[in-house]
Amino acid sequence: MSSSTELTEKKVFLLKSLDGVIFEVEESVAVQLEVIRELIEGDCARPFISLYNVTSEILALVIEYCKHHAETCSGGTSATIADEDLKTFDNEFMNVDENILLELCSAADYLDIKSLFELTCRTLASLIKDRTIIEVRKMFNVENDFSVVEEKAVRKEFAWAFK
Amino acid sequence: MNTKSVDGKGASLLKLVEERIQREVEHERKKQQESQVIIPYLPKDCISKILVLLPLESLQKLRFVCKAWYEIVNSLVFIDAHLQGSDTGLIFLAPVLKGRPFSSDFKISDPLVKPNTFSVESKVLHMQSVPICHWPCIDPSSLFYINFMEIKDGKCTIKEYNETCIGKIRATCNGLILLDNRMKKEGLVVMNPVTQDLLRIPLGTQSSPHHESYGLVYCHCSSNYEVVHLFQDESQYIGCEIINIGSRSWRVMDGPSFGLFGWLGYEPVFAIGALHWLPLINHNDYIVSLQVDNEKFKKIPLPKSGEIHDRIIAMSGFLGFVTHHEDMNRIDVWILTGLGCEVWEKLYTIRMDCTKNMVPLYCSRINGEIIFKKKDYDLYAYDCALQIMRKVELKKGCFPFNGCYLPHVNSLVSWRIPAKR
Repeated sequence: MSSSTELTEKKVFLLKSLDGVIFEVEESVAVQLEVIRELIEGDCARPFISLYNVTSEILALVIEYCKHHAETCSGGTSATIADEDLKTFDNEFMNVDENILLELCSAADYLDIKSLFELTCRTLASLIKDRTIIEVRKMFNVENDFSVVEEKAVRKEFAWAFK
Repeated sequence: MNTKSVDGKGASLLKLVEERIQREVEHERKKQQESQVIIPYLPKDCISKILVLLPLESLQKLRFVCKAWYEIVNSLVFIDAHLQGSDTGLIFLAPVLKGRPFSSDFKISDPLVKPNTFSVESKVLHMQSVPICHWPCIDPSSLFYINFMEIKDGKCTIKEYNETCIGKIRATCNGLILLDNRMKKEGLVVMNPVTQDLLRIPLGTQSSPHHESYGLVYCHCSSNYEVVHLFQDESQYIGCEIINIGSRSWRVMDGPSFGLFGWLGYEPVFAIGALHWLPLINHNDYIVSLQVDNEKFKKIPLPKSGEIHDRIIAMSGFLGFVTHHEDMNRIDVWILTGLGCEVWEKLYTIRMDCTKNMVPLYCSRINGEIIFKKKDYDLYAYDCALQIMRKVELKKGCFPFNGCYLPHVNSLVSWRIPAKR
């Protein structure tokens, strides 16, 4: 951020989570949420924005992520150091409970934060890569709606290489 | 609550009830909290994005999690996203009999190959409803495994599809391969080696193997995959015929102008909406291109004369021309970004001690490395971003340098559901 903008008063947005908790964030953080950036660019952003799909617990994490990324990118450090720093931060940031990870992924999709969406999807993919089908069903809370006959038929007719 | 008027016994009872109620409320709240945590609902887009990042081995298992996931994996959007995320490698044939003692002819149903191996010929015969007792004998020395080689971080990995065939791989495109159908000399087979889906293509104009060339292309206009066949007759005239995959007959069309081709031995490259050939063994001053949309041949001049080790390759959607400089330590990479103005642009200059005998094979789509073979036993990978050439670690004998190999991506693409662009 340049010094001239620092002198002027920073624009602040209030984000309200699903459970009614209000978070105060600076513009540099808010614009990382693509949904909000669109509002700002379209001049439709009111200082108070309700986010109906995100709980306070998840929104706090999302804001922490965006804050760190905003600070690192504007910190004036060289690109390679910033890259390294973000990598370490991202790795630690992904070290959370699986359910939180799923919620972060869903929130990143809803708030349209591309880098966080990519990061959570990559992490989830590497988590389920070696798991059994039963473990994955449990993790994503989905039920097997194939009947035994259906599953057998589909598996037989559309077999793939790399079994 | 007023407990002053109640005696000692009653008070303790009341306390017990109160505690119990509190415990129940607490329990209910916890349960509610838990049920809230357990259902982080992920929309379809998220699931699709996660699944597209999985290696094929995992995807082939996890697509059966539920019907919704299965449908995601079968959707056009997913198949296209998966294709875009897949990296190029080489598909090649490895002899089944390698290292085995010679045995006499056997039937393709014989257990010579590894168990659970998919046989292209068996499937073809099966599709034609030929009874097993009438299946022809196959010389085991002509039977090959279909394998895939991937190069990443200077190392090569071989993946086995567990599939056998007897025909040569003639062409590849977006994960589909074109194979000779050697069953009773019946033309060709198009196949996706990942999904094991295959289709017979009728025989076109017959020609001797050294005087014809096949290409597999995707036509945006018709949203269809097509096979292009060039063939040379006795009078040296080159004819051209095209068949839409799924249709029954070949369309004969105007071939390239007489004299443009001197040799049909270089496999064509599909890029920027056209199929391109180097038309001579050596000293190529131009390439011959067939535009897929209007089916017209075109002669495109090269920025410099192409010598015996120079090749054209597909490079991140464009056409690349990799050519050796007169200095023995320099290779130039030119690209053509479109067919409109046809101006080649020099993209990279590769410098290394000795570039002699380095033949470019393909450019990987994801990590942007150009793979070269040197003589008939070494592979090199050039990282275009870092400008580093390094030798690929190769297990001896794992890759047939003198055999048949073509650039290929593993995809779920099908001619039945054409990739959306």
